[in-house]
Amino acid sequence: MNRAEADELINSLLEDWYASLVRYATRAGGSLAVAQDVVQESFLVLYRELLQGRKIENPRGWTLCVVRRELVRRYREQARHGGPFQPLSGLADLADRRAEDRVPEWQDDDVTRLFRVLTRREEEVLLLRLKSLKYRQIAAQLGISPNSVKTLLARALRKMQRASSIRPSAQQLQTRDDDDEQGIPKTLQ
Amino acid sequence: MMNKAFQRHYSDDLLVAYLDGELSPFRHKSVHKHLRACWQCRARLDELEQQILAVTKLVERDLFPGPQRIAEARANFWARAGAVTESRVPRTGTRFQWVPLRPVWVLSSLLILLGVAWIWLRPRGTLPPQAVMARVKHAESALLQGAVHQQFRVVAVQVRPIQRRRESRLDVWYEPGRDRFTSRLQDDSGKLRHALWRPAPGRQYVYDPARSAGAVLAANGPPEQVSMDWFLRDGLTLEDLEYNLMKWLESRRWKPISLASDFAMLVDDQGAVLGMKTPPAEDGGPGLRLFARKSRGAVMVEFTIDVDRHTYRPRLQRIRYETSGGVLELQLIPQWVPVLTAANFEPDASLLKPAPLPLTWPPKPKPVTPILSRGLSAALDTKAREIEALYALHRVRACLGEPVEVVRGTDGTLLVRGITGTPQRKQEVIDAVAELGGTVRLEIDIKSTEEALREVGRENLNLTTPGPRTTQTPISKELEKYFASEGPLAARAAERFSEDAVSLSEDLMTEAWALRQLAERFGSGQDRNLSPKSRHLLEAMCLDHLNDLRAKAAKTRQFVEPILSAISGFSAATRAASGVQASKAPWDSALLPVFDCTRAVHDGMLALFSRATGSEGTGALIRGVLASFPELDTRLQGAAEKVPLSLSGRTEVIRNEGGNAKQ
Repeated sequence: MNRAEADELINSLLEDWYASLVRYATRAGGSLAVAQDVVQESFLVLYRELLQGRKIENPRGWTLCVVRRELVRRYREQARHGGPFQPLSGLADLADRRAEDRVPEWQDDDVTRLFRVLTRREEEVLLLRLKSLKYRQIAAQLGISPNSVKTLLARALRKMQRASSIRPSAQQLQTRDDDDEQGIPKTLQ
Repeated sequence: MMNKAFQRHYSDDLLVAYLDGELSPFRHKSVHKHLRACWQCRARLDELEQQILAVTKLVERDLFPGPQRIAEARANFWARAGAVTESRVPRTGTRFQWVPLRPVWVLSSLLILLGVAWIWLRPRGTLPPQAVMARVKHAESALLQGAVHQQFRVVAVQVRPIQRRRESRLDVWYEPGRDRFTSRLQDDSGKLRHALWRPAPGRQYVYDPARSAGAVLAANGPPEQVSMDWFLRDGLTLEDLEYNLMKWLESRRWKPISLASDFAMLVDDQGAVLGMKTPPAEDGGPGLRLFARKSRGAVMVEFTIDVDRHTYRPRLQRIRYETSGGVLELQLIPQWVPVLTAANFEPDASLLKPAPLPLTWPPKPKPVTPILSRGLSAALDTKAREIEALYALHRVRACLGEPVEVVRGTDGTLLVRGITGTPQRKQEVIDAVAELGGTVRLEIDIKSTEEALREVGRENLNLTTPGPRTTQTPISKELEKYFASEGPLAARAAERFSEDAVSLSEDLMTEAWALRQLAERFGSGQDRNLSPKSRHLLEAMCLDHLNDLRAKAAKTRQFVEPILSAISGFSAATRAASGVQASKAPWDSALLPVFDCTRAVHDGMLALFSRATGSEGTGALIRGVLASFPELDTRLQGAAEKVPLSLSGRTEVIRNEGGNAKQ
């Protein structure tokens, strides 16, 4: 890939993927500054690899993996150097995150509320699926099987559906009340 | 997949996959068919689609992080992107990450380490002793590369009957580049008990308080080899073992100590069988013990060498000597010193004060034949030493015309003096004499021709051989006729024949002179009270000369007789009448006629082949020479019978030419 193509790709990713990655990193890392830093770094690494001629089939999935590993690395470094203890599951279980760690401007928006109920894996799968990646591609990026992608995706949707039903807006509440009367089919688990 | 609980509806997974078009064609068709028939599944599918739609819209609508932050990020990125191509950006995904230790990892690492350690340290008892020996030699030779300083603890133990123990320390320095060597054996109080110095090649000193008060120059002769057999005798003491250690040090000829090589040599040379076992644990951890044992009668000697099982470095050499009367042990324990520490290759100044030079080199007297030196007067001892010195010279053939002599001093000392041709020959003669033992002081003053000339200030003396003999001899014409078949080379052939004949004749005379000197020196009753050993040596020398003389006479005769007979037509008798002396006559009386007879042969040969034509007729000369050969033979025969009978009282079996053996 030549320089012009790499520049074009990076620009398009900054346009439609950067925000999603920062959101993901902020939710996983707990700090907007860290998230921006990590995402920025992942883009730089991607850019260098592209310029060195490496063929990257799926830049979105690739950067997501880089961000995730960097977050894990930072978390371990922090734990080793006596930082505040944060269990690894903190990455997985976003619902357990303490409120004071969050940045006020996004902590209460709808997306955050919805995504907070997902596990790390579910969120990653959903994020990548939202970028129109095929199951096979998502599976390759995350190192899981396509069947797992299918299951995780369905589970994420179900969880989000339940979450939106727990704290719905007034209009949604009205709709949900109607739904409750009908009940969710028992077969759908 | 159909839900098994109800057997009629599809799961969310399948419905989501159906929506995403991720199902196989067959499964897609079946789901599609089911959806046409199943309201509930169609409704659930619709719900999922709505959910997906809502999530997508939410995410798209989400203002976080907002267009401003994205613009900042873009600006930041392109600001840093320029440096990306030139400098290294940390490879977040792939760089090495130090991770905190976890018990599982620690455990597995330990297991791997244990496995490796076991492979390395596992018992290796399967190697045969010879292979172990080879490895030990290799390991030791690797240690002895370059300059070395070796340190050994020498422990001499008497186990039975009374327990005794003596410890000393042996230091050896060796510098191969300049071929310098020093060894010092000190007892535990620091007193020097034995030392060797070699400050430069060819200059070496030995200090042994048993032999001399100070350090003396050491001879460069062949070393006395120490062997296992030396130990196989009864009645050795702890001191004898230590003495042997010193001997062994001297026999190493200025080389560092290599326990393994010496051990291997002992085992190989002496035919002792090499065995191997595991030494007891208290002897310094896991190791191997190589041993060789030999016994004779009630005496058993065992050499052992303990080596490290892993490095194959020798760590102990032990000589164990056992008899019914006691058990002795001598241990040599190496203390490896990695670097060459300061070494003094020159002898201690205090030890050089007595400086008995030229050298006195009487090795410690060991009672080889104890009867010899006991109870004899000093004069007899001097005579015995004189014979030994003569015999030593005899062995290196210094008695055959070389100007080397043994002189008895007035104070009972012996002086061996003379001049030899080359420095090598000088060294050979000195070495031969220097090995003599005994209590009599022996001084050696041997010079090479060069040194002798330098002393008299005539270094440039021309030492060419005398000019050619006169070509006109009484027999030259006859010889030329005889060699007429050679054509123009006849004169040259005749000349060469004459030269060879004279040369052979001179050889005869050197042997005859040696015999005469012995006869004059120890004959006429001077052999009285000589010890059996001296008599034996005297007899050996005489018989050697007689045999050589006989062989040379036969050779000379074979060389000249056919030609002389052809020229003169005279044929000598095979053997003259027997002229053996009466048995009561002394041995020297048989030797003097031999000398006279040899001189007659020599004179005749010189007259024939060397001198100018004389008054005597050629025929008479030839007859004289040819007749003197059988005469000489008879005298030799008589002397060979007489000498052993008279000197040692034994009779010699002498084979006559006729083949009759008489005693």
